[in-house]
Amino acid sequence: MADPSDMDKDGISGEPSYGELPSFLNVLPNAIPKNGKYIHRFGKKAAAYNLLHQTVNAYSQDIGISSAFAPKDVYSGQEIDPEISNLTINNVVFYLQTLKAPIQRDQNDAQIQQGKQTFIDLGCQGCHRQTLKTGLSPIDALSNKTFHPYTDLLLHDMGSGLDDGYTEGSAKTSEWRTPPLWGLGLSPNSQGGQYFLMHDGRARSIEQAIDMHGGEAEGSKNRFKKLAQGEQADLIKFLKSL
Amino acid sequence: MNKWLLIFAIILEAILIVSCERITPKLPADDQILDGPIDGLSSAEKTRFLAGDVAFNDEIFTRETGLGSVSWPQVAEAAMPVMARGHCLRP
Repeated sequence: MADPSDMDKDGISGEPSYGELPSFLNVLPNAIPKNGKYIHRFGKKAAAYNLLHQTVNAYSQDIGISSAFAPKDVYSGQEIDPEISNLTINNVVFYLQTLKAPIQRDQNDAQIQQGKQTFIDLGCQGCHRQTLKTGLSPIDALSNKTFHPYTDLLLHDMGSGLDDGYTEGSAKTSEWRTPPLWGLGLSPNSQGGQYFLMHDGRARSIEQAIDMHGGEAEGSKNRFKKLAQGEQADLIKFLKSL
Repeated sequence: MNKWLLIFAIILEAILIVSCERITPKLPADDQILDGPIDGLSSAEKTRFLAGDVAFNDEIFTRETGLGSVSWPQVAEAAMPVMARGHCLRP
């Protein structure tokens, strides 16, 4: 899926995020390093290698809970006693790994099927890839499974409008990992009935979010704008069914 | 007498059936379940899933159990020159 130099000339040049591994992480089988770095896929800029990495960072950096994995206080740099056990962190990681993914609703609805076709025609699938397949996993139920996250898990340049001025891992300031779209239509249920889309929640509707796409997604956005109102409605209904 | 008892029993049963239908919600469809595990987990894995579920969803951290920085006052003091004015609110 990666196409850093846009060999296929579709204007989309996704590339994996590479980063160094913290000492508490084990390299997955078949992982291929590049200059000592490994592909990271988790987080908005894909700065985490796996769910253990993501979870440890979330406890430590987001809420200030230290662990044996990350014993340093993020502000002072002082090493402190773990405030959460490794067992609890590993259980949370297992929970996140095995939590059921949202399933698309009303798949046979004609408007939704039309919207899906429009999604493909506009080129949205260039980044929001419908189907991926897992590799081997120590959890049997996760091995070699086909799933539908609507992401390629790659970094893409989203243009100056979404440039936050920060780099993270190998992601540049305007690069973001394609966010999965599964569960998109359900997200308002847990957000007081509102959408908060894009990396900082600035888009309050799916239409606004599409309008904020730039960079590699500029072409798809412009094609969306040229659609008839009914075609746009089909696409939005499809996205809300995810 | 037996006839009236039978009628009463039938009415009572009907009321109970209707009540149960109202009290017991229908099982949600597969695409509405968002907090369960994937299919195919062993019973040990399901137990582990539940332990993770509790830790993720039910554990409430406070300052006493580690929420936030241990050196918050120092951080606040360090931030004061940047803020130029104002006061550090100690916890």
